[in-house]
Amino acid sequence: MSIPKILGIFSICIMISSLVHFAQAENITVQTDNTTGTITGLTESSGFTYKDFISGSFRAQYEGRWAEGEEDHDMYEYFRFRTKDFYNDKISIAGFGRLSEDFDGHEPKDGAFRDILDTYEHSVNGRIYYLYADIKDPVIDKSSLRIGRQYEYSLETILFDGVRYEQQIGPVGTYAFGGLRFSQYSNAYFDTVAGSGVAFRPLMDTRVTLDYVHIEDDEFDDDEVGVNVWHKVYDDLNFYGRYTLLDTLPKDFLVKLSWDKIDWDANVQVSYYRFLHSLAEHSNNISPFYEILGSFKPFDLISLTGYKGFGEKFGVSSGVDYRRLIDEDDENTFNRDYNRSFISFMINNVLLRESKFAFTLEYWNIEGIDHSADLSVDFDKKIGKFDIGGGTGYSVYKYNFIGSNDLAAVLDDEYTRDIEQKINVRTYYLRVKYSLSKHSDVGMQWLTEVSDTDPETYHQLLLSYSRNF
Amino acid sequence: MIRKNTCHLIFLITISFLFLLGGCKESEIHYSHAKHIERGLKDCNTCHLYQEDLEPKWPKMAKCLTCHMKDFNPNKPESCLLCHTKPGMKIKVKHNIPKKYQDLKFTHKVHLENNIACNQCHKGIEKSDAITLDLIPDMFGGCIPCHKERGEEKIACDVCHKHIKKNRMPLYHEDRWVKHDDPRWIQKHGNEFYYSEDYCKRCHADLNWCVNCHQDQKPRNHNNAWRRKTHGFAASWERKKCMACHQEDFCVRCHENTTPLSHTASWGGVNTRNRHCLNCHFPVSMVSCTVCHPSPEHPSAGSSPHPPFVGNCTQPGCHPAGRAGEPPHPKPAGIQCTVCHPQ
Repeated sequence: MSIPKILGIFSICIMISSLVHFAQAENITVQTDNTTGTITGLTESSGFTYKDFISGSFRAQYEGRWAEGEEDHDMYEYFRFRTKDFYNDKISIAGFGRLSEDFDGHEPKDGAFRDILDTYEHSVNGRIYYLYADIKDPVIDKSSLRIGRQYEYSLETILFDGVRYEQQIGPVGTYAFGGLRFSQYSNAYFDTVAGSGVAFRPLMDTRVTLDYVHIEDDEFDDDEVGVNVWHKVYDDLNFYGRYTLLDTLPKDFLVKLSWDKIDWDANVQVSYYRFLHSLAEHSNNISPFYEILGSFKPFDLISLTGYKGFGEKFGVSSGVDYRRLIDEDDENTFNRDYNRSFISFMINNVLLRESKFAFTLEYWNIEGIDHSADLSVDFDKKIGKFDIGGGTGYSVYKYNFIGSNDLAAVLDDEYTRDIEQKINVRTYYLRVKYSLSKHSDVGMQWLTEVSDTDPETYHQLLLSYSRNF
Repeated sequence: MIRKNTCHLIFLITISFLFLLGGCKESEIHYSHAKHIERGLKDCNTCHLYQEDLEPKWPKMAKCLTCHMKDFNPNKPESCLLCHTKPGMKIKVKHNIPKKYQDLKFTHKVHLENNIACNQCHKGIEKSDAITLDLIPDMFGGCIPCHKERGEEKIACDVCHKHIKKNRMPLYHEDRWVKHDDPRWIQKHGNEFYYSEDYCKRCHADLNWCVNCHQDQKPRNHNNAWRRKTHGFAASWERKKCMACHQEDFCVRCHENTTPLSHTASWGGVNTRNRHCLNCHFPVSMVSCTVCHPSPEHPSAGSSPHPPFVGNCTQPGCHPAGRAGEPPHPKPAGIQCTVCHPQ
């Protein structure tokens, strides 16, 4: 597909979106930019009002990819909306979905651009991430009912079609949900989920939640229970603890201390996590990728992270993770010991106003055999209606099968290249966003990647148009 | 097993409660606004003395004693317990704004000048029997509806907040950092979400941002090489990180329908050394064949008769030239392996 043709289709999408949008609201709306994460306003629930009955956003994005004679052209449209409360201010409706089109059909199974969308039958695919109605105080006061496709974030992240009811009973918050599990990637025909929970404050500085979830996924029938405790130990010191049971067996627990010294613009977190029992195949939401990676073996993970700001312009984050299998005999390709560390610097508004610079370095050391290092630099600057950014990243992966030192003695290069690999990946990108109005913008991003994989050189172009309404 | 689990649970609960007790702080005074109002003290200024400068003060003990002198006997410490929770305890009533409100530009003066009654913000204070956090105005229930009535410009973030502005994200809440501008924030925000989901919802209504990033936007390190190859390394090191966005069926769907990079023409070609055979004869813990072939079956190949590839091969008779990888019999030229090994 030629570039002019792609741009023509893109222009048509922009025009369609302009027709689709509702009367422009003058008030503040929500907009997220995944690159900079800038909030440009708050939401209806924060007390802001919209003149229009429906508010939301539309985004159209073209993605073109080129690599050594191969190319791929896709289009994505995102639509998100929420209505104001209607029917005696009791009901509102919200939804979010995506439409994707693969202009040049499916990639071959060994194609350079093969990805999850190529596994579907059609080139045009739609997803409904959520679509639900909220009903305030449906039966009694201090309650709410949500009906439709929705996400549940408690013990596990669950997408389901069903109902969720919340009720505040004095100081205790309660909820219950149930319905049919849904997945964008597999058939969840008549798989069911249900759950409930309570949240309360037994002491002024303590919050406790107790959650339960039940998932039926084909032959798997899982029950999970978890208790979470947050407690303010002292002025700047917070404690968090979690303990979960899966099918009556202890699954894991986590304790974390967080010291947040606002006056010093600093914080430190130390945590200890223990995964208690080997986990094999379970329902899709709980399974630790068993079908791909096999059993998930018990381990300990100790983490220490910290942040320190230096005035308004400088900040440093750093941290280390230390992971060890509880039983050394469990060690295999997919259950490993590792040490991980990172450090990142951020510099805001130095030399250039409204500029942001971030530098991040991350290093993984897996049993002294595998290594990975990531280095990235990102710069962002606002110039009038333009938001210009760019950066580069370098990653190196040095990977061996366990015990490959012995293998090297008996294998020649033809085999060791499968077991000893060093892959360098370099990326360079540039992005520009231009605000057409308070509510719309167009964006462009170009990325070039050079790596030791096949294809070695890869280019990506993103063109986008966004509109809030 | 049940007994072991119960012990686990009891141990954890005990530790948790010890922790809670260690940090449990008693309220430093007994005080009931309701009882004082019942006894005729309906004017807040009587104790809080705000009429001169429109800034209410915390009552000093001397002020309390103007009425309570008759109940107080310096020789009887128990008489202190009328107000104090512990005898001899020095009350450190915080005259300063608590840390969590340090971001506010709030003054009582402006509100009193606008004739806002005390109980309009401190809702229910006239019926309260204790000093609790409930008496502090709630932003969404108390401040915003009232500000909204006074015009749209009165509900901009920076009317009340020093740091939270239209284009500046929150720095902290409830004494905890939520530094959205920290480049590592993206890896920390999950903890904050579970700490206070409601706080996130104030700006991220419907939690659609969760869906947007976790279901649709790839992290920056998920580049082309990642998709083609290196994601497997990362998954083998720490699969829990994958679980933040992915579930099993996502991986299975792709792996079932995509040919790995290693499966090139020489992977199992007749003129090569059948690398795929060799790979499968590594110990199971060393190979990744099961990623796409959970139960590989090729009965004609048989099992390896020895622990594979630990040290040098000492059986030169099995593999020609003593080299692993060569089939343990002469390889007929021009005949495909599958002629004899159909599976």
